[in-house]
Amino acid sequence: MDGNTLRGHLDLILLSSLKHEPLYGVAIIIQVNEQTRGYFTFKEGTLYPALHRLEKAGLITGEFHPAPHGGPPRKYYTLTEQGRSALARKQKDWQAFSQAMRPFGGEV
Amino acid sequence: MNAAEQFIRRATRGLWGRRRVEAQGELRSHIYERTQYHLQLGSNEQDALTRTLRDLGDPRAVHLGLLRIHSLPLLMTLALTGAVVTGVVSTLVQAKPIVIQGGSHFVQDGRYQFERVDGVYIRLSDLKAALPRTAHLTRTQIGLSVYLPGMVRPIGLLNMVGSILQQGTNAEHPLVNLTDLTRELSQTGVIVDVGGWERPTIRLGAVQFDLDPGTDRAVVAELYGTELMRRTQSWSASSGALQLGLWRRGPRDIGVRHTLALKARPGEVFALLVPQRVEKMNSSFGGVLAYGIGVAGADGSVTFTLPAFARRIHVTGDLQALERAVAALNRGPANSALVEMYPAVVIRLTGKLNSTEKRPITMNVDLRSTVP
Repeated sequence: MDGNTLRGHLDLILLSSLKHEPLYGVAIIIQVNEQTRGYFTFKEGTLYPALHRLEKAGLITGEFHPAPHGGPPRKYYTLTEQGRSALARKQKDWQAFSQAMRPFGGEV
Repeated sequence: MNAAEQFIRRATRGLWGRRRVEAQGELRSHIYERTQYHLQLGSNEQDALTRTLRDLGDPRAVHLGLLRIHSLPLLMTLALTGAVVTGVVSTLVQAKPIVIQGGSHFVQDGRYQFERVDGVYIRLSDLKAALPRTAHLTRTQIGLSVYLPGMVRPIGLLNMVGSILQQGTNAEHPLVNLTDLTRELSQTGVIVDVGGWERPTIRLGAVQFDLDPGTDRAVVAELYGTELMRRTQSWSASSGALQLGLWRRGPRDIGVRHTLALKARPGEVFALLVPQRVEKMNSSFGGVLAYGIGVAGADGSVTFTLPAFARRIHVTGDLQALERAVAALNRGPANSALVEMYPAVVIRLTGKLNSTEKRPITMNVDLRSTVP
């Protein structure tokens, strides 16, 4: 998938990945990779500016916790109430967009 | 510094205080986790780190992304603040800089090094007096916290331990390293302007420090020289056209005034650069630089004084022998056999030496000008 397409849906992907539990950067990458079967590949470093942007917007909060098996502390991100609302809104928008695009998608 | 730390530093350049520390911590954790993952898959340590950094991508992309999130809004805030403050308050502070001499020996990356850390300082109380009343400037355990009206939160100058606030200075009259402060604040969006020769000034937004260096040219030389040398080092080393000649005793002539007949126009400002390279005792001393700045007098001659703090010696080889050599070098002119000759370069500085945000201490150096 090209970068522009990914960028357009990055917020939805990241917020969605945090829907069930707080995660740290590497765990988010692994989860997104597994759920999409490797469809989304991106330079991992670009994840952090995106997370910081969402944090600054108040959609997620980050907090450092010790890593369970040693190593530097991890920064876990949690979805805020505002983030949950934003996620619900984005999911609704995506469903509407996806529905509207269906006639143009061709036969699968 | 290993490749991981280099990546982290490059990616977080321009961030300050808590943001910088947290972003660095986050990247450090990422690199650790990913490296461990590759190790478990059978890579050796070097390969694991290489793969991890490759997957992270270009640190410049991360840097720009983080800067866009954290610093640009702050820059806009500061620019607005500066505009408002400039219209209302203009503070002029006269400060008598204090030159402190010092130095340290240490081993880094297997190399013995000696570094002079002399610097020019002003009193923290002077800096406080210069800032508007609504500003807050406080010491913290780990540095200096600066808050100006309109900022979302204070700038924490976290990395300045031992630099901006020199450790060991009198607690009641702490000193602030002037050039470090200027440089660091210039990267936060505060407009910094450095200029002047006889009476150099530093403007930080609406605040102007009117420095009175007296006869101590070292103050002016440090204001301009460190950055000047950094920018011209590789260039001056490779440009034979600008070599003036050999400087027989080189930077050990510290404090000695050297007058050169340059046929310059009165008032023109020149920089004397002295790259140092010494090979002796099967060891090498390299990358050492000294500088002086002088202004042409009525007869066209320029007098330079090499400041004491322009000495940095990188050494490889037999450490014990080199320790003796460094000690001998530091004893002064009596040991002149150790250091012999240095190519010297003189370049003319044109225009005002100034600085704007993100480009600290921007100097208009006319590199094409040579002096016969």
